[in-house]
Amino acid sequence: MTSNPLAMLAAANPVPELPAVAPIEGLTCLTESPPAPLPRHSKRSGRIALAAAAAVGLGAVAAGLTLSGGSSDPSVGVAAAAYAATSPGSGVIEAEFVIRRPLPGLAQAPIRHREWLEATTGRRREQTLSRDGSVESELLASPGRAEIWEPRPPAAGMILRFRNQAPASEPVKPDGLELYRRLYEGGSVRIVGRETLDGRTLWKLEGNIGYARRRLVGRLRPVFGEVVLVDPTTYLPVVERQVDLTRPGYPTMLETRLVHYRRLPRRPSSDASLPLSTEHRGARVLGGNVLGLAYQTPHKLSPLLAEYLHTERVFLERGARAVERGR
Amino acid sequence: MSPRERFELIYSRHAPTVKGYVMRRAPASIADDVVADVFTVCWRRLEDVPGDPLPWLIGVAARVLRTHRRGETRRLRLGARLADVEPIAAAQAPAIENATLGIALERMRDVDRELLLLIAWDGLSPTQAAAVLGIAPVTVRVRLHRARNRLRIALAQLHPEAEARSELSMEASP
Repeated sequence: MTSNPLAMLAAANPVPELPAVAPIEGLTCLTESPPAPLPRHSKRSGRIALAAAAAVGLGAVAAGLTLSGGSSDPSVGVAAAAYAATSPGSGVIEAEFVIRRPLPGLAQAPIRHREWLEATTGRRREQTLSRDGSVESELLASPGRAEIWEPRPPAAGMILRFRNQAPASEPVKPDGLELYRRLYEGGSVRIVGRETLDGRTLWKLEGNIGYARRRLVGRLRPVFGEVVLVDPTTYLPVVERQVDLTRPGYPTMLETRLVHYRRLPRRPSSDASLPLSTEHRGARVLGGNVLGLAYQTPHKLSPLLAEYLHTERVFLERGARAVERGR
Repeated sequence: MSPRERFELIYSRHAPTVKGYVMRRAPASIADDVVADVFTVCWRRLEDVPGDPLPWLIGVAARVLRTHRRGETRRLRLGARLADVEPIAAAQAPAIENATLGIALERMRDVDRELLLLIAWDGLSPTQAAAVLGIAPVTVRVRLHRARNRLRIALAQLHPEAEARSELSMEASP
């Protein structure tokens, strides 16, 4: 039995036949741009590369990044640099995006999303602005709690306050820069090549962000894909796309473009401005104790995606019932 | 031959072998992603790709896999933190059906195991395996001889133990 271990190994080969591979057309976006050879390992370029790696490494360490350093793999370098570039440090980051829904049947005016991130307390504030610049909804989230304010019925003049039983968990999923930062940090998006947009060549990172099952005990399948195009100089996100992985051609469901970004020093006044109740004086505060809440609008989507969104709506309804009980 | 033509030739010849290498060591669900990563690196460093690209590609695939495993751990931690994303258990690499062989391989040193698998599973020659592992071909031949002997000894030692386990599992089953 043990006379020829190599023959035994060969017989135990879990993949004895060569598998089929994706057609090379899938890499066309890669080959449309010329190869970008890495620097040769001369002494001088080695020193430059070392200095650059040290700079990125220091940035990553300063940001509290968990990505392991020292790898020459481009996915680590770009994701780490993108994470470090969007770090608020000890201050606050202010960013503004324009969001479009290019799916047929969902055409509507682009909306603006404005946000502030503060790393010290883990707080983030998000505003959705209408075309005329008025605030359509506002959210303040921090570990364990969230507050939502909307000027329109049925919640007009109210601040819905949610608190999680587990203080470290979050009642509302992150969006905007905070979402990108978690994707970079968690390794959920990886570099797949480059894409030219408006004459600029950008790094392209992709990953799956949403999963669903067809049946209760079925296999989880990716339904949402995330694409982030990153500026090769500043490593800031230029465009983010959420794509429907359940449809042929992976159509874009949401496209978000960064239009404004700046770092603000932390001031004592920022603490006072972050709670919504101080911003909207006179608003009635309603409290609830919920496990999860998510904003999703039911769209005309594929059954798998609709099922995923249904799960999110269940969370939403559970949250609304909890609020009702708290009134 | 233009860079694009060379790249396409490398892809058509070696992508299945690279994918097979990945599928033997990682979940099949990530194989296409890893292959895409490998050929992204290949395109970016086309000038550095040697005349026999396979060992170079396998070496890149090994590094991409290591990066992916680190990323997977981070992703699972992240998934547990997100409120609306169901945490997903890490997918497993394909198991070896022969339990005795699996245990014997687990007990081997990483470098010995990888050398044996490159030759027995991936069909590489000792010279190509030497290029993947970054050691001299002469050294590989010596190591291969020793690794084969170690595996043979480990199998001989494990065989009675595996038989006993098999009997136990038969008794436990209804």
